[in-house]
Amino acid sequence: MTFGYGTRLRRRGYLLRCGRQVEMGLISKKKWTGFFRKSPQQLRLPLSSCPSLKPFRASSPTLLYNCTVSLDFSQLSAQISMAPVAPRSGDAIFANVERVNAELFTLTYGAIVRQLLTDLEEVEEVNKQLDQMGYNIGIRLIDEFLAKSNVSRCVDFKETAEVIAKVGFKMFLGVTASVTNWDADGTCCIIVLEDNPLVDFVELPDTCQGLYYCNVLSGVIRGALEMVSMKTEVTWLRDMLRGDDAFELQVKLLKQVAEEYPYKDDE
Amino acid sequence: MQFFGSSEISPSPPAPTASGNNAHMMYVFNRNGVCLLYREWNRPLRTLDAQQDQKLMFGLLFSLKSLTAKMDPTTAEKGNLGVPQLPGQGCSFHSFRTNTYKLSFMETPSGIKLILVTHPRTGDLREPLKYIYNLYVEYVAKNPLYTPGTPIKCELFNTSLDQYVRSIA
Repeated sequence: MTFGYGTRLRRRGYLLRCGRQVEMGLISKKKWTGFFRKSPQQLRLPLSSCPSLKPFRASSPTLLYNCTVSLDFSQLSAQISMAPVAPRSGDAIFANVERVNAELFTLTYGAIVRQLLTDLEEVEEVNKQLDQMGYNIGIRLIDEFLAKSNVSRCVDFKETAEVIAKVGFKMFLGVTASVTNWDADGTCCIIVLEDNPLVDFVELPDTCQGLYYCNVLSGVIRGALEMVSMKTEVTWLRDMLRGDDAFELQVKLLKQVAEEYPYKDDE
Repeated sequence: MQFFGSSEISPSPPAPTASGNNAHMMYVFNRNGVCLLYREWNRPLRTLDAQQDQKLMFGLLFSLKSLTAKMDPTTAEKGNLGVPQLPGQGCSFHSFRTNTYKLSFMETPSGIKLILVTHPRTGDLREPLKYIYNLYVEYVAKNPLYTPGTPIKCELFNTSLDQYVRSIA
Protein backbone atom coordinates (compact mmCIF):
# COMPACT_ATOMS: atom_id res chain seq x y z
CA MET A 1 0.00 0.00 0.00
CA THR A 2 1.36 3.41 -0.83
CA PHE A 3 0.36 6.55 0.93
CA GLY A 4 1.12 9.94 -0.44
CA TYR A 5 1.71 13.22 1.15
CA GLY A 6 -0.56 14.10 3.98
CA THR A 7 -2.19 10.74 4.14
CA ARG A 8 -3.18 9.80 7.58
CA LEU A 9 -4.36 6.75 9.26
CA ARG A 10 -7.31 6.97 11.44
CA ARG A 11 -6.82 4.74 14.40
CA ARG A 12 -8.92 4.75 17.50
CA GLY A 13 -10.19 8.18 16.80
CA TYR A 14 -6.76 9.75 16.47
CA LEU A 15 -5.03 10.79 13.34
CA LEU A 16 -1.54 9.76 12.60
CA ARG A 17 0.23 11.53 9.85
CA CYS A 18 2.86 9.93 7.69
CA GLY A 19 5.45 11.90 5.84
CA ARG A 20 5.72 12.31 2.16
CA GLN A 21 6.23 9.19 0.10
CA VAL A 22 5.70 6.72 2.82
CA GLU A 23 5.07 3.16 1.93
CA MET A 24 3.38 1.24 4.58
CA GLY A 25 2.88 -2.29 5.51
CA LEU A 26 0.26 -2.38 8.14
CA ILE A 27 -0.95 -2.84 11.03
CA SER A 28 -1.78 -4.60 14.16
CA LYS A 29 -3.92 -3.06 16.74
CA LYS A 30 -1.39 -0.94 18.48
CA LYS A 31 1.55 -1.72 16.27
CA TRP A 32 2.37 0.26 13.27
CA THR A 33 4.98 -0.96 10.83
CA GLY A 34 6.18 1.10 7.96
CA PHE A 35 8.88 1.46 5.37
CA PHE A 36 9.87 5.06 5.17
CA ARG A 37 11.88 6.70 2.46
CA LYS A 38 12.95 9.28 4.96
CA SER A 39 14.69 8.80 8.24
CA PRO A 40 12.74 9.36 11.42
CA GLN A 41 14.44 12.71 11.83
CA GLN A 42 13.31 13.79 8.41
CA LEU A 43 9.86 12.55 9.20
CA ARG A 44 9.97 14.72 12.27
CA LEU A 45 8.57 12.10 14.53
CA PRO A 46 9.33 13.23 18.03
CA LEU A 47 11.29 10.14 18.91
CA SER A 48 13.02 11.05 22.09
CA SER A 49 10.02 12.67 23.58
CA CYS A 50 7.77 9.76 22.86
CA PRO A 51 8.86 6.88 25.08
CA SER A 52 6.66 4.29 23.44
CA LEU A 53 8.40 4.61 20.07
CA LYS A 54 11.01 2.01 19.45
CA PRO A 55 14.11 2.95 17.49
CA PHE A 56 14.03 2.76 13.74
CA ARG A 57 16.45 0.59 11.88
CA ALA A 58 17.48 1.15 8.35
CA SER A 59 17.17 -1.67 5.87
CA SER A 60 19.70 -0.75 3.33
CA PRO A 61 19.47 -1.53 -0.36
CA THR A 62 16.29 0.36 -1.12
CA LEU A 63 17.13 3.14 1.27
CA LEU A 64 13.95 2.54 3.11
CA TYR A 65 13.77 2.91 6.80
CA ASN A 66 11.93 0.04 8.29
CA CYS A 67 10.32 0.58 11.58
CA THR A 68 7.90 -0.97 13.92
CA VAL A 69 6.33 1.44 16.23
CA SER A 70 4.16 0.57 19.07
CA LEU A 71 2.48 3.60 20.15
CA ASP A 72 0.10 5.36 22.28
CA PHE A 73 -1.91 7.17 19.69
CA SER A 74 -3.12 9.93 21.92
CA GLN A 75 0.41 10.84 22.86
CA LEU A 76 1.77 10.66 19.35
CA SER A 77 -0.88 12.69 17.67
CA ALA A 78 -0.54 15.38 20.28
CA GLN A 79 3.17 15.51 19.77
CA ILE A 80 3.07 15.49 16.01
CA SER A 81 0.81 18.46 15.98
CA MET A 82 3.38 20.21 18.14
CA ALA A 83 6.19 19.56 15.68
CA PRO A 84 8.40 22.63 15.82
CA VAL A 85 8.62 23.28 12.10
CA ALA A 86 5.42 25.12 11.38
CA PRO A 87 3.43 27.26 13.75
CA ARG A 88 1.14 25.11 15.72
CA SER A 89 -2.01 26.61 14.41
CA GLY A 90 -1.41 25.58 10.81
CA ASP A 91 -0.55 22.04 11.81
CA ALA A 92 -3.38 21.78 14.23
CA ILE A 93 -5.89 22.92 11.67
CA PHE A 94 -4.48 20.58 9.07
CA ALA A 95 -4.92 17.75 11.53
CA ASN A 96 -8.56 18.54 12.02
CA VAL A 97 -9.90 19.34 8.58
CA GLU A 98 -11.27 16.85 6.13
CA ARG A 99 -8.67 15.72 3.65
CA VAL A 100 -8.63 13.94 0.36
CA ASN A 101 -6.05 11.53 -0.89
CA ALA A 102 -3.06 13.44 -2.23
CA GLU A 103 -2.68 11.47 -5.43
CA LEU A 104 -6.34 11.81 -6.22
CA PHE A 105 -6.06 15.55 -5.71
CA THR A 106 -2.94 15.86 -7.84
CA LEU A 107 -4.33 13.76 -10.64
CA THR A 108 -7.66 15.54 -10.63
CA TYR A 109 -5.94 18.86 -10.93
CA GLY A 110 -3.80 17.48 -13.74
CA ALA A 111 -6.91 16.27 -15.52
CA ILE A 112 -8.47 19.72 -15.25
CA VAL A 113 -5.42 21.41 -16.73
CA ARG A 114 -5.27 18.82 -19.48
CA GLN A 115 -8.92 19.36 -20.31
CA LEU A 116 -8.45 23.13 -20.37
CA LEU A 117 -5.57 22.72 -22.80
CA THR A 118 -7.78 20.66 -25.06
CA ASP A 119 -10.71 23.05 -24.82
CA LEU A 120 -8.93 26.37 -25.08
CA GLU A 121 -5.95 25.36 -27.21
CA GLU A 122 -3.96 28.50 -26.42
CA VAL A 123 -1.59 28.24 -23.46
CA GLU A 124 -2.17 31.89 -22.61
CA GLU A 125 -5.90 31.29 -22.41
CA VAL A 126 -5.35 28.35 -20.11
CA ASN A 127 -3.23 30.51 -17.80
CA LYS A 128 -6.00 33.04 -17.69
CA GLN A 129 -8.67 30.46 -17.07
CA LEU A 130 -6.68 28.83 -14.26
CA ASP A 131 -6.20 32.21 -12.66
CA GLN A 132 -9.90 32.93 -12.90
CA MET A 133 -10.76 29.55 -11.40
CA GLY A 134 -8.36 30.24 -8.58
CA TYR A 135 -9.91 33.63 -7.99
CA ASN A 136 -13.35 32.08 -7.73
CA ILE A 137 -12.01 29.55 -5.28
CA GLY A 138 -10.23 32.23 -3.29
CA ILE A 139 -13.25 34.40 -2.65
CA ARG A 140 -14.98 31.45 -1.02
CA LEU A 141 -11.96 29.88 0.53
CA ILE A 142 -11.22 32.95 2.59
CA ASP A 143 -14.28 32.35 4.74
CA GLU A 144 -13.30 28.80 5.47
CA PHE A 145 -9.81 29.94 6.27
CA LEU A 146 -10.97 32.65 8.65
CA ALA A 147 -13.50 30.41 10.34
CA LYS A 148 -11.04 27.63 11.01
CA SER A 149 -7.90 29.60 11.75
CA ASN A 150 -9.55 32.06 14.12
CA VAL A 151 -7.69 34.90 12.49
CA SER A 152 -9.72 37.92 13.44
CA ARG A 153 -8.06 40.74 11.60
CA CYS A 154 -5.86 41.22 8.56
CA VAL A 155 -4.85 44.84 8.37
CA ASP A 156 -1.10 44.58 8.19
CA PHE A 157 0.05 43.23 4.84
CA LYS A 158 3.28 41.83 6.26
CA GLU A 159 1.48 39.87 8.90
CA THR A 160 -1.07 38.70 6.38
CA ALA A 161 1.58 37.35 4.02
CA GLU A 162 3.16 35.41 6.87
CA VAL A 163 -0.18 33.95 7.81
CA ILE A 164 -0.84 32.87 4.23
CA ALA A 165 2.50 31.15 3.99
CA LYS A 166 2.53 29.53 7.40
CA VAL A 167 -1.11 28.80 8.08
CA GLY A 168 -2.90 29.02 4.75
CA PHE A 169 -0.66 26.75 2.71
CA LYS A 170 -0.41 24.33 5.59
CA MET A 171 -4.13 24.20 6.04
CA PHE A 172 -5.12 23.64 2.44
CA LEU A 173 -2.10 21.98 0.81
CA GLY A 174 -0.27 20.48 3.74
CA VAL A 175 2.96 22.30 2.96
CA THR A 176 4.62 25.30 4.47
CA ALA A 177 5.90 28.21 2.47
CA SER A 178 8.24 30.98 3.49
CA VAL A 179 8.11 34.68 2.89
CA THR A 180 11.22 36.53 1.75
CA ASN A 181 12.48 39.55 -0.16
CA TRP A 182 10.38 42.28 1.35
CA ASP A 183 10.82 45.55 -0.40
CA ALA A 184 11.46 48.74 1.53
CA ASP A 185 7.86 49.88 2.03
CA GLY A 186 6.53 46.42 2.83
CA THR A 187 4.16 46.12 -0.10
CA CYS A 188 5.86 43.46 -2.14
CA CYS A 189 7.20 40.10 -1.13
CA ILE A 190 8.01 36.68 -2.45
CA ILE A 191 6.42 33.48 -1.22
CA VAL A 192 8.72 30.53 -1.70
CA LEU A 193 7.22 27.11 -2.01
CA GLU A 194 9.71 24.28 -1.94
CA ASP A 195 7.23 21.52 -1.89
CA ASN A 196 4.17 21.59 -4.07
CA PRO A 197 1.79 18.66 -4.14
CA LEU A 198 0.14 19.97 -7.31
CA VAL A 199 3.13 19.09 -9.47
CA ASP A 200 3.81 15.52 -8.38
CA PHE A 201 4.04 13.38 -11.55
CA VAL A 202 3.99 16.48 -13.77
CA GLU A 203 6.26 17.30 -16.65
CA LEU A 204 5.63 20.08 -19.10
CA PRO A 205 5.76 18.97 -22.74
CA ASP A 206 7.56 21.20 -25.24
CA THR A 207 4.28 22.49 -26.62
CA CYS A 208 3.25 23.92 -23.27
CA GLN A 209 6.37 25.77 -22.20
CA GLY A 210 4.47 28.99 -21.56
CA LEU A 211 2.04 27.30 -19.20
CA TYR A 212 1.94 28.32 -15.57
CA TYR A 213 0.76 24.98 -14.37
CA CYS A 214 0.01 26.15 -10.84
CA ASN A 215 -1.62 29.39 -11.88
CA VAL A 216 -4.66 28.41 -9.87
CA LEU A 217 -2.66 29.10 -6.70
CA SER A 218 -1.92 32.67 -7.62
CA GLY A 219 -5.60 33.16 -8.38
CA VAL A 220 -6.59 31.77 -5.01
CA ILE A 221 -4.28 34.17 -3.20
CA ARG A 222 -5.48 37.11 -5.22
CA GLY A 223 -9.14 36.24 -4.64
CA ALA A 224 -8.74 35.58 -0.95
CA LEU A 225 -6.83 38.81 -0.35
CA GLU A 226 -9.36 40.80 -2.30
CA MET A 227 -12.03 39.66 0.13
CA VAL A 228 -10.06 41.14 2.99
CA SER A 229 -9.81 44.39 1.02
CA MET A 230 -6.31 43.99 -0.31
CA LYS A 231 -5.98 44.39 -4.03
CA THR A 232 -2.93 42.44 -5.07
CA GLU A 233 -1.05 41.31 -8.10
CA VAL A 234 0.33 37.80 -7.93
CA THR A 235 2.89 36.57 -10.44
CA TRP A 236 5.10 33.53 -10.75
CA LEU A 237 8.80 34.28 -10.64
CA ARG A 238 10.19 30.79 -10.58
CA ASP A 239 8.66 27.48 -11.40
CA MET A 240 10.13 24.04 -10.78
CA LEU A 241 8.43 22.73 -13.88
CA ARG A 242 10.55 25.13 -15.88
CA GLY A 243 13.72 23.92 -14.29
CA ASP A 244 14.04 26.27 -11.31
CA ASP A 245 14.72 24.88 -7.89
CA ALA A 246 11.64 26.23 -6.13
CA PHE A 247 8.31 27.82 -6.75
CA GLU A 248 8.30 31.54 -6.15
CA LEU A 249 5.26 33.72 -6.13
CA GLN A 250 5.55 37.45 -6.06
CA VAL A 251 2.72 39.10 -4.17
CA LYS A 252 2.44 42.81 -4.66
CA LEU A 253 -0.01 44.92 -2.71
CA LEU A 254 -1.59 47.45 -5.02
CA LYS A 255 -4.07 49.04 -2.69
CA GLN A 256 -5.97 48.53 0.51
CA VAL A 257 -9.57 49.45 0.06
CA ALA A 258 -11.16 51.42 2.87
CA GLU A 259 -14.56 50.50 4.15
CA GLU A 260 -17.22 52.85 2.89
CA TYR A 261 -20.87 53.20 3.60
CA PRO A 262 -22.32 51.14 0.76
CA TYR A 263 -25.67 52.86 0.21
CA LYS A 264 -25.63 55.90 -2.03
CA ASP A 265 -28.77 57.76 -1.06
CA ASP A 266 -29.63 57.76 2.61
CA GLU A 267 -33.24 56.61 2.70
CA MET B 1 -20.51 47.86 25.50
CA GLN B 2 -23.85 48.07 27.21
CA PHE B 3 -26.66 50.54 27.05
CA PHE B 4 -28.88 50.60 30.12
CA GLY B 5 -27.23 47.33 31.01
CA SER B 6 -27.98 47.25 34.69
CA SER B 7 -31.36 48.91 34.83
CA GLU B 8 -34.19 46.58 33.99
CA ILE B 9 -36.99 48.96 33.15
CA SER B 10 -40.59 47.86 33.18
CA PRO B 11 -41.56 46.88 29.62
CA SER B 12 -39.03 44.12 29.70
CA PRO B 13 -40.01 40.81 28.12
CA PRO B 14 -40.44 37.72 30.22
CA ALA B 15 -37.29 36.05 31.45
CA PRO B 16 -35.79 33.42 29.20
CA THR B 17 -37.53 30.12 29.36
CA ALA B 18 -35.84 26.78 29.18
CA SER B 19 -37.14 25.76 25.77
CA GLY B 20 -35.35 28.36 23.70
CA ASN B 21 -37.71 30.83 22.20
CA ASN B 22 -35.59 33.80 23.05
CA ALA B 23 -33.92 34.62 19.81
CA HIS B 24 -35.79 37.30 17.92
CA MET B 25 -34.05 37.55 14.61
CA MET B 26 -30.82 37.20 12.77
CA TYR B 27 -29.23 39.18 9.96
CA VAL B 28 -26.24 38.36 7.81
CA PHE B 29 -24.72 41.13 5.73
CA ASN B 30 -21.75 41.23 3.46
CA ARG B 31 -19.40 44.16 3.09
CA ASN B 32 -21.47 45.79 0.37
CA GLY B 33 -24.49 45.99 2.63
CA VAL B 34 -26.36 43.22 0.87
CA CYS B 35 -28.54 41.38 3.32
CA LEU B 36 -27.58 37.79 2.65
CA LEU B 37 -29.94 36.39 5.18
CA TYR B 38 -32.77 37.52 7.37
CA ARG B 39 -34.28 35.00 9.75
CA GLU B 40 -37.04 35.77 12.14
CA TRP B 41 -38.20 33.66 15.04
CA ASN B 42 -40.05 35.93 17.34
CA ARG B 43 -40.82 39.47 16.28
CA PRO B 44 -44.25 40.75 17.20
CA LEU B 45 -43.69 44.39 16.26
CA ARG B 46 -42.75 45.36 12.75
CA THR B 47 -42.92 48.93 11.56
CA LEU B 48 -40.79 49.10 8.43
CA ASP B 49 -40.77 47.12 5.27
CA ALA B 50 -38.12 44.47 5.14
CA GLN B 51 -35.69 46.30 2.92
CA GLN B 52 -35.74 49.49 4.96
CA ASP B 53 -35.43 47.53 8.14
CA GLN B 54 -32.30 45.81 6.88
CA LYS B 55 -30.81 49.03 5.64
CA LEU B 56 -31.43 50.63 8.98
CA MET B 57 -29.81 47.76 10.82
CA PHE B 58 -26.76 47.90 8.60
CA GLY B 59 -26.53 51.65 9.03
CA LEU B 60 -26.82 51.35 12.80
CA LEU B 61 -23.96 48.90 12.98
CA PHE B 62 -21.82 50.82 10.56
CA SER B 63 -22.16 54.08 12.46
CA LEU B 64 -21.88 52.44 15.84
CA LYS B 65 -18.67 50.81 14.78
CA SER B 66 -17.08 54.03 13.65
CA LEU B 67 -18.31 55.72 16.82
CA THR B 68 -16.84 53.08 19.08
CA ALA B 69 -13.55 53.31 17.22
CA LYS B 70 -13.60 57.07 17.54
CA MET B 71 -14.23 56.91 21.28
CA ASP B 72 -11.48 54.37 21.87
CA PRO B 73 -9.27 55.83 24.62
CA THR B 74 -6.40 53.39 24.04
CA THR B 75 -5.14 54.32 20.60
CA ALA B 76 -3.62 57.60 19.54
CA GLU B 77 -4.12 57.64 15.80
CA LYS B 78 -7.66 57.74 14.61
CA GLY B 79 -9.15 59.67 11.80
CA ASN B 80 -12.06 62.02 11.98
CA LEU B 81 -15.46 60.58 12.61
CA GLY B 82 -16.96 59.24 9.42
CA VAL B 83 -13.68 59.00 7.55
CA PRO B 84 -13.54 55.52 6.03
CA GLN B 85 -11.31 53.08 7.83
CA LEU B 86 -9.58 50.01 6.55
CA PRO B 87 -11.49 46.89 7.47
CA GLY B 88 -10.21 45.53 10.75
CA GLN B 89 -8.72 48.84 11.75
CA GLY B 90 -9.76 50.26 15.07
CA CYS B 91 -11.73 48.47 17.73
CA SER B 92 -15.11 46.91 17.28
CA PHE B 93 -17.98 46.15 19.57
CA HIS B 94 -19.51 42.75 20.03
CA SER B 95 -22.84 43.42 21.65
CA PHE B 96 -25.12 46.01 23.09
CA ARG B 97 -28.06 45.58 25.35
CA THR B 98 -31.19 47.62 25.82
CA ASN B 99 -33.90 46.99 28.34
CA THR B 100 -35.83 44.97 25.79
CA TYR B 101 -33.31 43.15 23.68
CA LYS B 102 -29.67 42.31 23.24
CA LEU B 103 -27.89 42.60 19.91
CA SER B 104 -24.78 40.52 19.37
CA PHE B 105 -22.53 41.33 16.49
CA MET B 106 -19.61 39.69 14.79
CA GLU B 107 -17.68 40.87 11.79
CA THR B 108 -15.14 38.75 9.97
CA PRO B 109 -12.17 40.19 8.11
CA SER B 110 -13.87 39.14 4.89
CA GLY B 111 -16.66 41.56 5.69
CA ILE B 112 -19.39 39.12 6.69
CA LYS B 113 -21.45 40.61 9.48
CA LEU B 114 -23.51 38.34 11.69
CA ILE B 115 -26.16 39.90 13.88
CA LEU B 116 -28.25 38.04 16.37
CA VAL B 117 -30.97 39.76 18.37
CA THR B 118 -32.03 37.97 21.51
CA HIS B 119 -33.58 38.40 24.91
CA PRO B 120 -31.67 40.99 26.97
CA ARG B 121 -30.63 38.45 29.55
CA THR B 122 -28.82 36.09 27.19
CA GLY B 123 -25.16 35.67 27.98
CA ASP B 124 -22.09 36.17 25.84
CA LEU B 125 -22.84 35.01 22.30
CA ARG B 126 -19.42 35.48 20.72
CA GLU B 127 -18.69 31.77 20.59
CA PRO B 128 -22.13 30.88 19.23
CA LEU B 129 -21.69 33.49 16.52
CA LYS B 130 -18.40 31.91 15.56
CA TYR B 131 -20.18 28.62 15.33
CA ILE B 132 -22.82 30.15 13.10
CA TYR B 133 -20.02 31.46 10.91
CA ASN B 134 -18.80 27.88 10.64
CA LEU B 135 -22.27 26.82 9.60
CA TYR B 136 -22.15 29.54 6.96
CA VAL B 137 -18.86 28.18 5.67
CA GLU B 138 -20.07 24.61 5.54
CA TYR B 139 -23.48 25.15 4.02
CA VAL B 140 -23.14 28.37 2.08
CA ALA B 141 -19.56 29.17 1.13
CA LYS B 142 -18.91 25.58 0.13
CA ASN B 143 -22.18 25.23 -1.71
CA PRO B 144 -21.42 25.24 -5.43
CA LEU B 145 -24.93 26.42 -6.25
CA TYR B 146 -24.53 29.55 -4.18
CA THR B 147 -23.24 32.64 -5.93
CA PRO B 148 -21.20 34.80 -3.55
CA GLY B 149 -22.85 38.11 -2.76
CA THR B 150 -26.43 37.00 -3.35
CA PRO B 151 -29.11 36.26 -0.75
CA ILE B 152 -28.79 32.82 0.74
CA LYS B 153 -31.43 30.34 -0.33
CA CYS B 154 -30.21 27.20 1.26
CA GLU B 155 -32.63 25.01 3.18
CA LEU B 156 -29.96 23.05 4.94
CA PHE B 157 -28.37 26.19 6.31
CA ASN B 158 -31.69 27.53 7.50
CA THR B 159 -32.64 24.31 9.23
CA SER B 160 -29.35 23.89 11.02
CA LEU B 161 -29.34 27.55 11.95
CA ASP B 162 -32.84 27.32 13.41
CA GLN B 163 -31.89 24.25 15.31
CA TYR B 164 -28.72 25.75 16.69
CA VAL B 165 -30.25 29.06 17.65
CA ARG B 166 -33.00 27.23 19.49
CA SER B 167 -30.37 25.42 21.48
CA ILE B 168 -28.47 28.53 22.55
CA ALA B 169 -31.04 31.16 23.20
